[in-house]
Amino acid sequence: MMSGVKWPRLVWLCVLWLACAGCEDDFASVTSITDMRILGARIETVEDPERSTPRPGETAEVQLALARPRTRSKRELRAMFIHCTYPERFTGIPICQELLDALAEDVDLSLGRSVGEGELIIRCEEDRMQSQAGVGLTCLSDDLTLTVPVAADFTGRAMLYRGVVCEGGTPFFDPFKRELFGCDGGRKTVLTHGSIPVSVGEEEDNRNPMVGDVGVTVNGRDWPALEPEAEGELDDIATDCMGLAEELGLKDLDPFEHRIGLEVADDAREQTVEGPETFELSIYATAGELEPRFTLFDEDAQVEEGILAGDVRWLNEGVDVLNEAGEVVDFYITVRDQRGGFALVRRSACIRAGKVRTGSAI
Amino acid sequence: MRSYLSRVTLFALSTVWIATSGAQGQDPPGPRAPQQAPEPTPGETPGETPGETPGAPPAQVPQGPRGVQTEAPDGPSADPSADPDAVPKAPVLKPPSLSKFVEAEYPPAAAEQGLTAQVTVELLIAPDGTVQEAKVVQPAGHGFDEAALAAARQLLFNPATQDGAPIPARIHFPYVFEMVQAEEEVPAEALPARFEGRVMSADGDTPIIGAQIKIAAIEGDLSGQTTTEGDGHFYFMEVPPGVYAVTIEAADYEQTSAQETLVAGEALEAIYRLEEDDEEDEVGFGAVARIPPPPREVTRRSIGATQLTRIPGTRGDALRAVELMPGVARPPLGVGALIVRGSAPQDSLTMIEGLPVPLIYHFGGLTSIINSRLLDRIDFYPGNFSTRYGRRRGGILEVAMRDPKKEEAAAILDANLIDASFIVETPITDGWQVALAARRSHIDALLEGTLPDTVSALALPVYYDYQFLTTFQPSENDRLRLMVFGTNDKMELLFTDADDALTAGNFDFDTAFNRAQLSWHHKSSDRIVHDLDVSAGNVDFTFGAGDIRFQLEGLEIYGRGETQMRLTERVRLIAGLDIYTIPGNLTYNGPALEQSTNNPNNMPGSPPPSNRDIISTDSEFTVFQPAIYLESELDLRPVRVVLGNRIDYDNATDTFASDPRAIAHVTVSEALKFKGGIGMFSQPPSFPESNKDLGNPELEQTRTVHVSVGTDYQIGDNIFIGVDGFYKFLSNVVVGTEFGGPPFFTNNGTGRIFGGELSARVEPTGRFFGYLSYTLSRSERSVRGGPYQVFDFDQPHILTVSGTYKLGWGWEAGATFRLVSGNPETPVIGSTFDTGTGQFSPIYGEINSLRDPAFSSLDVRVQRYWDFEDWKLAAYLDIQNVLNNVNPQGLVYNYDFSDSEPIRGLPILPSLGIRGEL
Repeated sequence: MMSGVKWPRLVWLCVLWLACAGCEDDFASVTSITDMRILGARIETVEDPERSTPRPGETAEVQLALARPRTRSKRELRAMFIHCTYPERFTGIPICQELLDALAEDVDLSLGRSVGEGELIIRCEEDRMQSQAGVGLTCLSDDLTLTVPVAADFTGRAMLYRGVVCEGGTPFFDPFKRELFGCDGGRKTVLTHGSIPVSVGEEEDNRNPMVGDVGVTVNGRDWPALEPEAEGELDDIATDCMGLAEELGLKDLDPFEHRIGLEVADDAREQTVEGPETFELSIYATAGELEPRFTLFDEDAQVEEGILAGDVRWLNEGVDVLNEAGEVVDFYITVRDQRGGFALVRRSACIRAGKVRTGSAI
Repeated sequence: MRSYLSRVTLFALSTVWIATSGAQGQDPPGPRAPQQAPEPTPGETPGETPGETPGAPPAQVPQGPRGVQTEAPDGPSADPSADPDAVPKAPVLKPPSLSKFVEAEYPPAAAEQGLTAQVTVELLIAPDGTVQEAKVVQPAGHGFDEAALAAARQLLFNPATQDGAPIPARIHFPYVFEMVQAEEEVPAEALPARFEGRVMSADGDTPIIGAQIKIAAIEGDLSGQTTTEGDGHFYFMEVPPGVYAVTIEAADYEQTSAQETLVAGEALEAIYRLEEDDEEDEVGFGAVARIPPPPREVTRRSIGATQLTRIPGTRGDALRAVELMPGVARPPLGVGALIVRGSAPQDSLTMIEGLPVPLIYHFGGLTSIINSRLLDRIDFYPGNFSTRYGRRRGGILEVAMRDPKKEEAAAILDANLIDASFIVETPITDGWQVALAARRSHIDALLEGTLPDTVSALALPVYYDYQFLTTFQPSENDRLRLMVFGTNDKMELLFTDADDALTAGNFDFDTAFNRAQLSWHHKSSDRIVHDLDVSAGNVDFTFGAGDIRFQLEGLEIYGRGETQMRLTERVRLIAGLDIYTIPGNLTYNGPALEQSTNNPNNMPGSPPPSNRDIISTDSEFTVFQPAIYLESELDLRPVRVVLGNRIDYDNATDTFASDPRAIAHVTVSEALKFKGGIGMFSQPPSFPESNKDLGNPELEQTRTVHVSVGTDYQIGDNIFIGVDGFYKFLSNVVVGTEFGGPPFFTNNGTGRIFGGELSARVEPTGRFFGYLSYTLSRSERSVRGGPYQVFDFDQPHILTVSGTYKLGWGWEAGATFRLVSGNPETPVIGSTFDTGTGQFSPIYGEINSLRDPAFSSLDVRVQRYWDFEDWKLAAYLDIQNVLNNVNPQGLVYNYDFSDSEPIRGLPILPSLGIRGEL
């Protein structure tokens, strides 16, 4: 019966349908980790590791937080970075451009090239610079931790860093490329940049969120982190994980839709002059999709019994391609306090292959 | 040396039926003199004759056959007393009307002596319209009588009729002989104007014979009337300059009216098209075609309201029809912007009745903020415009509102899929009319329940607008118009799955402005006319997306005073002062501002704003921008030259700009004209760019040189062809600093734009009207001395073809086809991940080095009219993009910019509506 539906509304719905036809994109979900990804960076002051804001004269260590799907063979990670002072007003990119220009000496990127292309490429070969102008750049490998000293007479707002992470390739700097950085060879290139807020007094100090501040549940039941030893053992396991629940504490999940709960103790948030700082929790997984992809606990967030809580749905469409003997799926939860503090929380589960039952009750 | 010319001035060519006795209702049928005076024409009081203005100097008084009287020739008596049983039925009598006037020769001897005279002749007009008999009934001697008789015998008339049948008629016809000074010594203001044209059937290219044209001065009591000749032509040979209400009536046709401005010493030609009685049309909304007043610019393109509301693809929205004009680019999807000759949208200005308005469209181009059926016309100046206009380097769009109806109350109700509106209008007293219109969208009701789960509607999109308009004439020399209008768009949505933490959450949008605008036209003498326009009203623009917030509140005040002085017949001076000021408050919290154009960060697909610094300000401000301008118009026939200069001050930058401008028009023949112009056009930096908190107050005004040449050619009565070429060089263009650092913005940019336009239009002489326009252009910018890049709004090829045809039986159909180059795009060649925000930022390739695929769209419109006894009804279906072409509008990228897909343009969009008119 159409009696309850007005015809203009029907026409309008048709118009909307036509307008939205094709609106849905075919892109892979931003929450799906299908390749090497940088998820963030934890900044720790060498003099006070819990503090993410170094003071003038102190040194900061920037640890890049990466994720890779287990099913792909791991290749060596190498990186090249530059750091500089934060400009007065930052409009996105480029950053450290002045320093990079100085590195390139006579090269004026905006007007043209005063030296021949390829003459000023700087490479990280076996963790050291291979160029005629190899100053100001840092080569990294393995743990990808960048050390940034803050000058004692520093008066700016923050330090900046910018560089490239290569999976299996050789990082290089080429002032003639718009990207400036790149990888020779290898499988994956990720350009990245970030800032290190510098505090000039205690009131501007910021401490990193702690991994233990975040509680995770699945379908309402606790989902604790693995013991460090178990984590180590699991590192080499990608498939055939069924039955490891007892041995490693790895949670077994069927391929159906699940509800993942994220909980943060309210008192884990530092107090600022505007109130409690904001925690932004983003979640990623090496299989399936997650909605919503981030949860914001701001000053207006509802606190129940001292806990901030949010729910995320793990949608398992496509999980039926997993290994029949089970596959380890990693869930990464990043915590940002929007003041430079960062923490990465990981949970893993063994997912059995099976027919997808989308929309199933949890 | 003084010399004299003899002339016979003629004002109202037509006869006026004046009865001599008896009441009409008591008149039996028969060829005898009617005995009741007809309804007075506008400005005429019973007993007076049209054209007489007591107290007015003779040189300014319309002369001619005033008080022409008719009486029946000898024939059977129709005295009712002779037949008491006769049915008192009024005959349908029509007076004779002059179809061919013959000027009388001024007796040479009388001219030498400077004698003047009036000779009244009595004419017997035969049923075939010829003068059968002529005799002098009011002689003057000195050869005047003979001259008048000789001329009168050659006059031709449309014969008097009774119940449609030609009958003989006897009339009195005065010839006025007067001495006037030779043309070169006649004061310019004393020169009469000439008003002529044709009356045609709107359904076909058919002249309407015998249509009555009545004119009545808006200021004063001058009035007159005439009838059309065999080819539909009519003439008012010498009419005092001024603004006139024109009424056109013809049997079996709808009456129509218009308002025309007659300029001293110049001719105005008009073509009026009348609709048949059995078909409704927008005949009440003004003239269809007109010869505009002398140009003060190189190119002006106008479309009358009767066409504006009938153009396919506009949903009947008059302002959207501007996109059909040559030189106007297609705006990006969802951007209600006027892009003129390669300029940025913010470089062009829209004005309503001479004063600017902050926006013209609801919701980024959905529909305009003024009810289209209140518009009289739209004038569009794509460049080299008069010094009357300033603070813009692009183009000017001026919207003229019509007067409320003077004859009777009327109402229009309109409803379609998007909104519903009404207009009511009525005369209050003689010379005072009011109109009120309002509109509300119902998108909110239609959208309810259709939003995805991830979007919650706190306030669904809705818009309102209203217009109140009244005109009042307190004296002969003064005319006042008050307009109060306003608009409000608002929506508030809650996004639970935004891509960016900074913009997640609320998305709210609220734009409102209200405006009271008073216009005063004052004629202080025959040489000097003043116009004063003042408007004031609030503006409140609020935009919020997550933590990003922009709010601008202020009291916008605009005033313009302009004086026009005719120094001699060939020289006219125009001086004006206009002031724009807005004290207000700005609240902003959001990403640091960047260069507004040729900056991919500000284009669709730009990086998430959380990758930029957040800046905040909450400050009070006052924008103060006064300007003076002076313009001289020199008539060096066949060349007309306009020289002017305008000086603008901008308090935000504390700078003055002087803009000299010159244009010339050469009239080769009535059909062929050449034109050209060169001038400087300055524009202050945008408010944020020069704001001390957001930008750089040390900026200077941008400068642009406009050069244009062109020609206009008329084929027949209704086909007009124009070719224009233009070049613009922009200097002092505001651009961002190299790395976004202080002072954030500089004047270190230049630009160049060049191109040509071809336009052709067919005015609606019959069943058809249409437009064709093609623009070939190139627009480029150079930033900080770098090489020239294609400008964001560069569209090299713009082709538009539109036509509307009246099918008959109340049906009308039309189509518009557009083929336009795609917009430039800047490729993304990589991305970099911001560890602080978790977002990727794109790395762009060469600015605007790619281009979207060409845009093509076919829009159709079908309309059906019904004419009932007391009201009219129209139903219309307007379908945009009927072929549902994809028309990609840029690219959308995945989260790390490694993959992309085209953004589809507007899909097929039908708009179905009905309109009733009372």
